[in-house]
Amino acid sequence: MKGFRLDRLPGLAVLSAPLVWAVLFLFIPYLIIFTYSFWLKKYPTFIPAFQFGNYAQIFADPQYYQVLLRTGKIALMVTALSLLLAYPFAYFLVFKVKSSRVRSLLYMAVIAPLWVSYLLRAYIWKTILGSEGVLNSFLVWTGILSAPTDLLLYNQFSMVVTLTYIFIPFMVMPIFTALEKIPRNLVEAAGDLGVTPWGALAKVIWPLSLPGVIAGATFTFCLTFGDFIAPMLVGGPDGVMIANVITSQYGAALNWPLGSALAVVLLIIVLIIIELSDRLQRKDRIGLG
Amino acid sequence: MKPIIEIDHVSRIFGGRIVAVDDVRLDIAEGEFITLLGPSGCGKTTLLRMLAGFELPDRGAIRLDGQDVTHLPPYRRDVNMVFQDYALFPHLTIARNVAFGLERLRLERADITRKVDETLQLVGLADKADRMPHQLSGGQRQRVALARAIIRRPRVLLLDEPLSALDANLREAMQVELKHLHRKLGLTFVMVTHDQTEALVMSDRIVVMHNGRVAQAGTPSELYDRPASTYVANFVGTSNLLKGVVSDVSKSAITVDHAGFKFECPPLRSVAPGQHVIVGIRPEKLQITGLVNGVAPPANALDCEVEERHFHGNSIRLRCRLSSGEPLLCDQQLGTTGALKAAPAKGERIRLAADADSLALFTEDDRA
Amino acid sequence: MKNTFVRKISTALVTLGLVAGPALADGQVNILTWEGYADASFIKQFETESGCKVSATYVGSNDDFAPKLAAGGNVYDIITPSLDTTYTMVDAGFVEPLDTSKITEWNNIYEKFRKSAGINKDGVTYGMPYAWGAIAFMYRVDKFPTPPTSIADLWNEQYKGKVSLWDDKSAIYVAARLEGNTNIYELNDAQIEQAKQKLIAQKPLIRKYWATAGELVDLYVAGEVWISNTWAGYQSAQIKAKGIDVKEFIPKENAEGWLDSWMIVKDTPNKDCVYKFLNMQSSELGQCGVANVNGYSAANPVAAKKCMKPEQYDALHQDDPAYLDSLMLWRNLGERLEAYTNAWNAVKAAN
Repeated sequence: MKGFRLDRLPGLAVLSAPLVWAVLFLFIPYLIIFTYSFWLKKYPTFIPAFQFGNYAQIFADPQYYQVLLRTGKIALMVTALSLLLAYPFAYFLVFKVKSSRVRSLLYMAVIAPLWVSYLLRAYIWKTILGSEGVLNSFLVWTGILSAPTDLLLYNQFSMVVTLTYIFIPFMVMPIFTALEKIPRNLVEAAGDLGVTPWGALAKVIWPLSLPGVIAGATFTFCLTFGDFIAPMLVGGPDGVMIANVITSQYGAALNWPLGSALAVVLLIIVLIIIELSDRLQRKDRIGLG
Repeated sequence: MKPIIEIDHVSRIFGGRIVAVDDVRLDIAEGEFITLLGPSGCGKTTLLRMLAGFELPDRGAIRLDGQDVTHLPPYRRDVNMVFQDYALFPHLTIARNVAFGLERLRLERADITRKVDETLQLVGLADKADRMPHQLSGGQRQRVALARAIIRRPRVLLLDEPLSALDANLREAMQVELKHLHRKLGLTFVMVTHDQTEALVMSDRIVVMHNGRVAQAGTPSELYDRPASTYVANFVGTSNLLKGVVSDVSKSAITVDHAGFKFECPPLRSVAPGQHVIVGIRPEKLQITGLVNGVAPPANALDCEVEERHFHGNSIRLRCRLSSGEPLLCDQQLGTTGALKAAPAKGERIRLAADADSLALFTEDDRA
Repeated sequence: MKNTFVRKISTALVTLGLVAGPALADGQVNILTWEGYADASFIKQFETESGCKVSATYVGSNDDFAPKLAAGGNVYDIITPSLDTTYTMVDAGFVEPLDTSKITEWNNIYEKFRKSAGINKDGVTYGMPYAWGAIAFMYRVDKFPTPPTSIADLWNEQYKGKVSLWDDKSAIYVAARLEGNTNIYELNDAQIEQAKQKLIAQKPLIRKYWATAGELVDLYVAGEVWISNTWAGYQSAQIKAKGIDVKEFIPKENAEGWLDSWMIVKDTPNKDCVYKFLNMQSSELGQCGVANVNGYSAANPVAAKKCMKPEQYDALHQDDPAYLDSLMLWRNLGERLEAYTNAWNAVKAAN
């Protein structure tokens, strides 16, 4: 305590504010959830305990890893579809659009929906994909379909479409940034050395934009992995994802211990993915130093 | 001899308004080391980029070895470029950077390895093959860029300000090395630079560009000794430019009056008495003939007062002022010990004279 | 004691700002209830007359009450769980005894309801019966030339992709009845497993499980669903109002019956307003209010008779105690609840 001086206090306070925030809103809640995960479900609610029954149940009951697998599958599909759409779009913006005004306009057009309520954006897809929705009406009107199809809404397809629409900005942003950072003369150099534009894309632009791709894929995958609203709004009977199971354990089942154990498992999965992506990015980034 | 490159009345206009290259006509001979010289914005880089295929001309045609390549994309032209900041692929090793241009030639792996080794040896980087670009120094990167561009032995090697990012010592060494390489490979080199020294040292021929046009094309000594305009005279080396009026035109000389001084220039231009002209004199062509005395100065002699002396090591530059009030630069070689002491002191009034052959005569039109 | 601990943790969470709740003040009553139970059509009058401001939060399932109360924070003053959940509220210590002497109409409420096991423990009453009805079934008239009469019609391949079921443990009751098990509140593990398999087999036919009353209405109106179960009286009226002709039916496998009771959350600071509110809800204003808005039957036939037309009184079976007896009235599942919810979750998780 000898070294402590009162006049240092304001500086200390500024530095410790984020720390206090992290402790209050991250560490303590995680700790509480972690603690709960060892408690015991007992009518009418649940009681403190230290046992691994909840974790054992997650690995023993197929319903949990079935849902985990399905969540992973949906997240992968959303990531792949987002990448497939976002990359050409970002490429087009960065390398093909000459006017910087048009470029920022198109860029904003993709980013702007982020300011619109998630629920509203998900809800829109109900009216597009429904049995009597916009798309069905169009397909029937053009004669492509003789009768409206049920295949567009309330299934995994509609979830992938909706989640892709909702999370694609998180894919476009890092890819756009990565592409913008690639010096133009590298593309010119590739052409100069006899490589076609497609070859330049494969050999120069793609590898150099990988850090952006990895960042975007990590965002979309993790955001999808933890989503529970799309399954509720546009998912069908086969659309339950892991976050919905956690919600129902905290809600209907009133089994906070099991819900917490599931949340801990989800957290670990996401942390592993972020760690892997971080390592990949570090490996890739050496080049642009 | 048939030229390897023919630039046939080529123009490039940006955004429909900015004329970067304006009706340029130029032939480049096979094996020549030619330099496009000029300040930034003169159109030299745009012209080079049109040779590479990164820019397309709005008018005119470009022929490479007789074939029209005006609208050919870069990857179908047998030319390679050394980029100003090297443009090395940061994610590839040095060896793979150098091999990049070979990949589409469908060579055997062993062939590629051999060629890469040879080329890296040529630029003295054989031991750096497995490094990444960011692990090399600026000079080493510049050699990699060179190696990458010459590995395919293109018909023409384009160099865009290749030495501008290097520090002074390295730059001089690289100038010599590039020159050696040019001789060794026998390729046609087209270099762009804004550095006149670099251009003078390295080039077989220099094309001075000004406002998108060719101001003058010629060997370094032609440009230096017979500049076609005050612009060239000023851009290549330094010149004293003195305004005057033609007083007499004869078969042997054109006589020009400048504030009481008289020049007798070689009769290389058609001018008429009474016409306003400019006389150019290189500072090092002025000889000190003595101190100013009562006698009126003879033709091609100037009286002035030394205002400043600048020591340049092997020479001294005197900043003088003519009795007409015009400034005048004069360089004196300091060949022997004690020459510095013998040089005129500040405040001394000296008489300077130039050889008639070293005088350049410009008309007012040449200013453009 | 155990629950106090849960409460302490929960309170800590609330203090950390993780669970936000409205500030509590006098002159208000905060209710956690079903859609329609705080409808402006009769609540406005109550607010003006009593000076008590009503703010309502809605649930989609009886399973929503416990978690919301377990989260603590004294956010709600009164709740309306159904008869299968009321006893859990008492056991969990979420609610406090009711002072029936403060409720003027108490003795006019059906005696069978007042004495029901779900709201009485050790001679103490914890709930005021309010509204009741059946979990009936419903179909679109234009899509069924032959009206459906059995639960089996929800398993009919012909209606693939047009079937919906309530996202609730009630689905287990439905499937169990289809399997011929009438002891739907006392199913053993094997019977629950049977019902679960039946529901998994039905999944390809399901368009979507409905979670809230409004969602089912939307599903019918958007043409997504043709047949489902329903809270009798409520959704069908709304769907008809939007131009889709639907009809309710009680299948030959019978229907569940439900009864909702008002319960006072422990330690509410708004007791004055709470009792004013309960008096209003048990009187003509509240009883006919809920009957008109939701189409549910009233728990106080005396009040209902005064404000209903005879046809409505008849239609809502207010004079027909036998109808109520014919329904399979919900019961508290106690410790078996977990087995039912687990099975239902497994159905939803299945591929």
